[in-house]
Amino acid sequence: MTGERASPAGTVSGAGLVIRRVTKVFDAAGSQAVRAVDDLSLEIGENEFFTLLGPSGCGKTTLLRMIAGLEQPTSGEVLLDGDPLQGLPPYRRPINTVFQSYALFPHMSVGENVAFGLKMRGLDSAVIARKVEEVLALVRLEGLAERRPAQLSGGQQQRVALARALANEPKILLLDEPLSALDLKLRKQMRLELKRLQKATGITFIFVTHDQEEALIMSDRVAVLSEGRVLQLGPPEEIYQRPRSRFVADFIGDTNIILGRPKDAERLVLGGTAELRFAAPVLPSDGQDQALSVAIRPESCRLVNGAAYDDLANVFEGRVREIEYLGADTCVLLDVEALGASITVRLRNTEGAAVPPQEGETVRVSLPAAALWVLEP
Amino acid sequence: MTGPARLSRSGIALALGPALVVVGLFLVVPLLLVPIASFMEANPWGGVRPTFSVEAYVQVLFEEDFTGELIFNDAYPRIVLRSLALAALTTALCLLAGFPVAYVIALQPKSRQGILLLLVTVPFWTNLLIRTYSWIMILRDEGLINNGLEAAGVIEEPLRLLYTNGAIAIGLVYTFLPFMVLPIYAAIERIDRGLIEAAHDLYANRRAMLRHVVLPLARPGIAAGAILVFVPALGSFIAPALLGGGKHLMIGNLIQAQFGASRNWPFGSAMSLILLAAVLAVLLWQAQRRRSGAWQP
Repeated sequence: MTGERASPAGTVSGAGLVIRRVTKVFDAAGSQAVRAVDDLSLEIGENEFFTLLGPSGCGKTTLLRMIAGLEQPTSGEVLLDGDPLQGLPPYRRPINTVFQSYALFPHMSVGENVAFGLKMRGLDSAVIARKVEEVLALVRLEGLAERRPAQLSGGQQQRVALARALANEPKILLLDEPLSALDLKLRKQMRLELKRLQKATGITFIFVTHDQEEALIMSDRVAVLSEGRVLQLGPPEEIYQRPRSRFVADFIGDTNIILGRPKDAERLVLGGTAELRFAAPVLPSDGQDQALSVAIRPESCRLVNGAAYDDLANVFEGRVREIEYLGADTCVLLDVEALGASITVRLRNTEGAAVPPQEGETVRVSLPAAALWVLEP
Repeated sequence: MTGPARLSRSGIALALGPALVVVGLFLVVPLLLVPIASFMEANPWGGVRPTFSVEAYVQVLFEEDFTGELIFNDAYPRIVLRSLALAALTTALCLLAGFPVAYVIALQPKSRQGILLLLVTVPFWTNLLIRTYSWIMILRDEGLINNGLEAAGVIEEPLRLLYTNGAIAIGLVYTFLPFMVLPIYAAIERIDRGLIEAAHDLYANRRAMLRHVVLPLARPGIAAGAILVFVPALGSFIAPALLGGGKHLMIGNLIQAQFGASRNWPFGSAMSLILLAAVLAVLLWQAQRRRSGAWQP
């Protein structure tokens, strides 16, 4: 369940951030104690864009605050390059944060805000001035150093917050949902910008978000969190294409989920006589009576006509319940009796593509065996 | 569409009318009577005689000797200066004592803040005269402090605590401390907790964070508190009368005496105007400094 499993994007030994069996319990007076982070372990490599993804209340912000030193773990430890951070106040950690609300100092100019960390570390004023100019250029805010934060747009304030943190050249930059206050267009632009900054600076970014799209676009690796635990850890492609559990599958993208019982290692019985074929022996051979969830992405499903298909095509008849036009795509929602489930099929609206069916029409849908995978119970 | 209710012109007049009448009758008119009275002659049996005279103002700086010649007398200027100094000292001490209290209260959980603020206002529940009088019990030769120190063997002879400038300052600080705590609390309470965390995140320890973030952002509260303490402290007369023992007068005592035992209304009026001018001068000076951004608490 945790980061102990080797991961393609780089598992680490020693260097980077190690979170080892960290638990955080909040004692709320008068109500039950909340276990915000529950025995969580992670290893985050150097120069990695790492995303903590999860719904609100999953513990991702608490975890970030413990890395920053703004909260202390109830148990477990956080190590940076092999050294424990335990007991170090935030101002002694080579880690900086971009806060969700930006937390820019309203009584200071943009330049003074960016210079703050450098000044606190007692750097020479000439060095500070040069660094401030350099970082403001990096976030494309040249010439705004004299302004007050209140005179800037939300997007500009966001860049100031970034510049203020990056100026210190931290080992790790923590970003707590920094894009959530921006409008959609700006958010899309900032995603690329953040990715560019991470590459340009070589600093490890730990990014917290509840937006799966953000996580998929920017990250080298994503950890999906729920109820204080890591449900899945891996590169975005793996997380999207093969979510291990129902929770992850539902949280990231749209997923069709089909219930059944295994007949043998390659076949699933779906109530009655209908069978779902797999391309490889992936089903557990023991416990034949155990109900299993099988998933397939809507874009992997196909509408087919004609007759000749092999068993691996898994063709079923379904009735069109709803058509949803999305611009680039059209989603067709089918009631498939044989599967005992509704299946969404996502069709590309390319030039010359088949005309989507009408509501109420009966069509044939194929669930290719290679695109099916089994979810953990 | 339903907008916010707007008052017509007559509605505004109706709403503000009673307050304007009260302010006009009981503030503006008496305030105009003061300068008029100051340019009249004193009536030895009280009140004024309607004869123009600058006698009251001359009396502030000079006295007549036996030959009728005017010679400089520094008694009254010294009282004015002592009042200014005591009020400034009171303001500084209230700030030193009040800021930490306000900061600690502002950082408490919301539910506890209410209780602590209530405790700050507890002194107001009793009459000021009684509260100041009780300081006599604490400070006098046979009082709490002297008896305690003597019993502990620290001193043999009682210390002279009562009827000193120090006693007046203690009384003033005690009286006006809540006026400093409350506005500073309000200012700190409004500061986004995220800014404090951001300062820590950016390598500021607690002291640097207080100096660079909390103090500058609490400045409006500090300015308000300083005015709320300095102005009434300058004109106060209960603390100097009771704790200064008549030897250490402040402007307030002087003015009060002119309308009481001394029966010199023009002189009392003149001193009132001097007090008013001193307060206005301090306020203008502060506003000026704040506008230029150089204002320091």
